[in-house]
Amino acid sequence: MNIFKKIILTVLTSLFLISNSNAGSIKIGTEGAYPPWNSKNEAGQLIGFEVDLANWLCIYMQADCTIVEQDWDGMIPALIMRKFDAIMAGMSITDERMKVINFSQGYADEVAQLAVMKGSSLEGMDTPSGINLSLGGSNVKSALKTLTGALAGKTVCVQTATIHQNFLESGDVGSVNVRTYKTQDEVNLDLSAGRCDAALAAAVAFTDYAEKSGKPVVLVGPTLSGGAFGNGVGVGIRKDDTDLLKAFNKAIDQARKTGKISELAIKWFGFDASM
Amino acid sequence: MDLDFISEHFPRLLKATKLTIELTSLSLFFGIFVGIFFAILRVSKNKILFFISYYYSYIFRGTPLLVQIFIIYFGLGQVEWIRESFLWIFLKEPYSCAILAFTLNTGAYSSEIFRSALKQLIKDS
Amino acid sequence: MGLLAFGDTGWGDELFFATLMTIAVATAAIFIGFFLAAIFASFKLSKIKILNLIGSFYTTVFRGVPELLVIYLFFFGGSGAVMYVAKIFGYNGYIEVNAFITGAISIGIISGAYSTEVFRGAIQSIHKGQFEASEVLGFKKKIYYYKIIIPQMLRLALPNISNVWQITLKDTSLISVTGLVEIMRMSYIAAGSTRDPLFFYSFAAVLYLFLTFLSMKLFNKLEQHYSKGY
Repeated sequence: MNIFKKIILTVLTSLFLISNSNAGSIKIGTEGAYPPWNSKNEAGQLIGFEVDLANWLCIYMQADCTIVEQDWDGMIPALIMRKFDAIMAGMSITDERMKVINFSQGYADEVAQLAVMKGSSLEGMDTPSGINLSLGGSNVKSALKTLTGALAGKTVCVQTATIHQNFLESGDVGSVNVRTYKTQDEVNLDLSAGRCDAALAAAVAFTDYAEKSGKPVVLVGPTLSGGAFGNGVGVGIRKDDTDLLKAFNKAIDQARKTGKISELAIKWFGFDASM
Repeated sequence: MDLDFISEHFPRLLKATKLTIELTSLSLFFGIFVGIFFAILRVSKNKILFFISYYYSYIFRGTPLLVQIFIIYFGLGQVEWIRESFLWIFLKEPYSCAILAFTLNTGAYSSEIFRSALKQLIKDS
Repeated sequence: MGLLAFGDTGWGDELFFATLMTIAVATAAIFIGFFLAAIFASFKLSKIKILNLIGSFYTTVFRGVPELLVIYLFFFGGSGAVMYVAKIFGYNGYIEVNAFITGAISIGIISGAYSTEVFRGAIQSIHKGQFEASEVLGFKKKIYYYKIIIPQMLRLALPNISNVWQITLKDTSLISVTGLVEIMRMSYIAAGSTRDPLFFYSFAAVLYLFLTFLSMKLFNKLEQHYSKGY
């Protein structure tokens, strides 16, 4: 081979060697900091509802999978840059996100709820136990009115770049003083420090915090879903990966039929959060 | 160069710049006084005062600023008696916590600078 | 305290390795910095105006821009740049430039800016007489620099180099944003998993203080060694 071909070959091989994507296997990205959906244990391994579900989906798809860690705020850019091929990180299916990526069907539902510290004036709100913003209707409207009145002028804390932030800023609950934080942990800290009148996040995030910290965190108001909260949690996939999307949907159907999703949901959430 | 993106977000960056300048100037200003105070403690003959100044400088120069900010804002907020004291009026606000953290941090570096100057002056006099 | 246990039940072993990583990156960075400082310090001391300008530009920019910005530029920009070149060859996959390498290089460049000023100041404070005597005695510039000037410069620079080391050590905490598992990153992971950020960030502060303490001891020993005969 002449020297020119040799150089090209060496460069290509080395580029290939330092790359870490491998045809025939699927890389799934998750945050690792959002229990019980996904987190890390003391041995440094990724664990959680989605980690278990991902492994099962891969068994159904008969594919080789690795699970990769990624910070929440770089999740979608990392998918697009091909750092991994699918997102399973408690990411809700929303119209906004669907502009950039595709989602599989939802596999589990995550309701949001407001949380306050025990003794707050917001306790005992007169609302239905749960509303779905996509369904609309008079009971949704009256619940939102109650919330608007209760939260007027109050400070509500949320994690940045979440559906919860979008909801608070949407105007559905009037003008609220929204404070954003990099992680849910920081929201929890400021809620218990009394800097927030209330906080908004997935209901399970607060129950998890109350359990682990022993602090008197109380959920108030209706559980919220639909609308800005999206339609359940699904697998995020690049727009041009239509085959992978089909494969995941098929696997989720199977997992649902065999009762696997319900089983894992009960194990990790304590109740059947499957869709 | 996505000019639309830049022009859309530029006003917020400008606002943020104003905050940066405010925090920097206030912290530098207060930091000088803090620095002089601890420099005086450092050259004193009293052992206790010396060690207070020494450990203040050691802790605030030896740990990352990010950790200091985190502990002052989130850490102190978890302590019950602080939340119930008059200090809370000041420590509840992110703005004042930021100034406190930056002032203490820059004060530590300033105290080192003033200390060596002070030592020279004392030697010469 | 059980949180800090070694092995599978506690975070102790992860934090231990994270500490080793912090030391590794800081060490790599400071030597990269020394290499750059040697070049740019000589630029700043040179008689050629353009070299002076390049040297000043380097020290001003990399001491004046926030370290986080430099790290982001090198890590995300670096990945993008390598992938751009790879696209030309037809490779469309993801290439991630190693976080340790980009981290060490970006902190190294910043560390180098500080070290440049230290080296320059140290050489300038050597008595002019040393240079004149060497010239008069007929030594070639390369030789007397190596045998007479540099050893003296090291002694004078040492206290300030310990400051640069401190800065470098703490700047490594910023590489946590690229995912490299050093002290800050490990604390973030442990905090997220146990929902106890206070404990782990306070412990991180203790780890940094401990590293600072060890560094101070090391530099004191070095200063004593190089001051022999003075």
